[in-house]
Amino acid sequence: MSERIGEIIEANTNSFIVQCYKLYESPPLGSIIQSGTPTIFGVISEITTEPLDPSRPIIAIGHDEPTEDEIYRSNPQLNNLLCTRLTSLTIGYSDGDNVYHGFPPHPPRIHSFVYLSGNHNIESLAKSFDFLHLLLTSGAGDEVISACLRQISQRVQDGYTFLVESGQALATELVGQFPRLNAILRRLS
Amino acid sequence: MIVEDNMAQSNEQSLLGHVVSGSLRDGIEIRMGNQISVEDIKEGTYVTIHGQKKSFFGLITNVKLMTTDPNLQFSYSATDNPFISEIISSSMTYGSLSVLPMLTLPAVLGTEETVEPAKTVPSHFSQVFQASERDVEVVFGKEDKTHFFIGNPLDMETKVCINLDELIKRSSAVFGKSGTGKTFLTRILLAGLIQSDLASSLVFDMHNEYGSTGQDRDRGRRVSGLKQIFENKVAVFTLDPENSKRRQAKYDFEVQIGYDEIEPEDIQLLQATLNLSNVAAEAAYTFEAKLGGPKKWLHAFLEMEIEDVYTLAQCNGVNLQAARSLHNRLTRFKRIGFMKPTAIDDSVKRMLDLLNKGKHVILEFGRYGDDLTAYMLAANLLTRRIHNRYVYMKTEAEGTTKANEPRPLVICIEEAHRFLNPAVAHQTIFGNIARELRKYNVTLMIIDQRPSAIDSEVMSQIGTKLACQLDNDRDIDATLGGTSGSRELRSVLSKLDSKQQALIFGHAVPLPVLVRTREYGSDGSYTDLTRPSWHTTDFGIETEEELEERLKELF
Repeated sequence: MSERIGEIIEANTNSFIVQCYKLYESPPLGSIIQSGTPTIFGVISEITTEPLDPSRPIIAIGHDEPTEDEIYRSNPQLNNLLCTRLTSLTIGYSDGDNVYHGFPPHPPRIHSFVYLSGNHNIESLAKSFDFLHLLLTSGAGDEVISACLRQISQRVQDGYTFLVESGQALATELVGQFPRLNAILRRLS
Repeated sequence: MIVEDNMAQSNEQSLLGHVVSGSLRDGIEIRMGNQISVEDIKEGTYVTIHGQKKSFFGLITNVKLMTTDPNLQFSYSATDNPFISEIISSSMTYGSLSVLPMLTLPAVLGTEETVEPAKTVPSHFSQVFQASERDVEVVFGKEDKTHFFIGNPLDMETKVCINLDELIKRSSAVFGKSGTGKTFLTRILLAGLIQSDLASSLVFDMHNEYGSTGQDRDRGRRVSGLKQIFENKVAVFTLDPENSKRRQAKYDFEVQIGYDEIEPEDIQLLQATLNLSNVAAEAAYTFEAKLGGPKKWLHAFLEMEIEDVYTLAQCNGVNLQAARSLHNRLTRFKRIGFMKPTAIDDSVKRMLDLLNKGKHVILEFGRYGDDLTAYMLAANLLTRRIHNRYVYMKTEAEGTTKANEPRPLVICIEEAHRFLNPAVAHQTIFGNIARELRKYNVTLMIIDQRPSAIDSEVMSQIGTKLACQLDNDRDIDATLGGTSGSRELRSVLSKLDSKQQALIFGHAVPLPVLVRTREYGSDGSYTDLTRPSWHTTDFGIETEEELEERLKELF
């Protein structure tokens, strides 16, 4: 099992929010993560660091500190008052044997452990480009899509072919939106 | 019975794409698969479309570059960035083919079902394949007595055959600019007629190219004439024996035309070439009436002094000017060598006898080929007499068995627009034949470089047209007039190579076909013409007579 990164703190069928165990220790944007049973896969579409208590706004405190790291050393409570959360868009689920590109029948449970997906699962997901349609309809930005495809390309056997084929799939999805397609492809090239 | 297996066929043919839209009238659009480059597809190529219930046979009439997004043409990244270019070229751009569905093919070969004109279109997403050799053979027929191998489709080695039975039922035409291979194509067609023995032919050989040795100017070689290839089946007549001797060309008979054979109608036909006014041409009728009737008038007229002509004209109310110019121009006949006061031999009768015996007659003009007056006079006169004879024979044979009917005759004329232009088509015998002589078993084969100059009424009666390269708009319009899908054929016609290519359409072929005409000029080509592959049976026997002989020997 890959590294555990956090727990689900909010979930619905098409997305879930994860709180990371450690401040600032979130996988990069576009990473594929998984959680729950059946396993639900998602793509990180947004990473936020904010106060645990929304009613206690953060104030600037480092006026007299020489470096940014000094601020955290002088105020160790910050690691408990702040948290890093990430939003994941669901792109599929697995019943153990097969991977389905679609929303799971039920959302994952709260406090489900969240892991970074391993190469085996990523390759299974990347066999079809249906996940791109889900990402586009879930409102994922161009940056998320390009980051996700770049990361997958580094984990599959023939990364270039994967990028070309995913570009072709995007061209089919984004008919009539050539500027957007062009922007994503430029980020991939 | 051979059951056509679409799946098996799919494997041996290359899939071009799928039907995406279209109509019966304007043709259907095929979206090409990405694995095939548009650069490999040529206009005029045949395709078969496997619809849900029927197979269709069609012709590619246009190749287009398409994109799924019109904005693509304004972007540079598709050309600047190889990665983006690779993606876009394989997903957003595609080739599109316009295909004219021409025929529906039988689903099961060997049944009663035959190839029929397409009256519907294949359904959406039907698979489109490049036509296989077998498909082409099913459509054009296998080479046999009535199916004559005329050439190959472009990019294919299959034999395209024309149906000679259909070809001779109506008039046919060979059009093309000068130097595009009209003469070669005509030679091949005539060889086909001789080979098949379905009809006799009479060729007015204006430039002495068909009977004896001709020239292949492009390859700088001499090619055999039909007399050399089919020694026993062809008779060469000449109007100019001196010229034949000089060319060392063998001829069988000399033709002379007597003044007594010329009628005022012939003068009327020559009105333009003799530069006669209407009044002058009409005056010939008056002189005919006054100078002893049909047989004698011309001789008498030419022997008259000009003063006597004036007197005669004055007495009969003929304009003096017209009478003078008529007399003046007709004296030209005296300078034409083959025109005699009385002919020594009845050449027409001789020709008719030969034609009825199944021989083919080639009339060489020698140096008179360049004299339009002589050419038109001789061609018109001989044809008129042959025509009269055929009409008589056909009428006699009515009510009796088919065997008594005159043997079909194809009259082949060059520079046909001289006889068939709108001004004279109604008067010349050729106009008459083109319009109605089909019922008398006589048809024309018209060879011309200016189809637009031919009377439209005559053009509309032509059954089969073989067009070499033409680039004048009016000629193209005239050639394609009334043909279904003429808009699509137009572009095919204007892009023909200037050598060895012809577009054939009309009754003798089931659909318009662009062919690379078969070889004529090499030794092998002559053998193919005299001993076609279908002639030889499995037992090495070539003709029915030979078969009978062999049978007699056996028993």
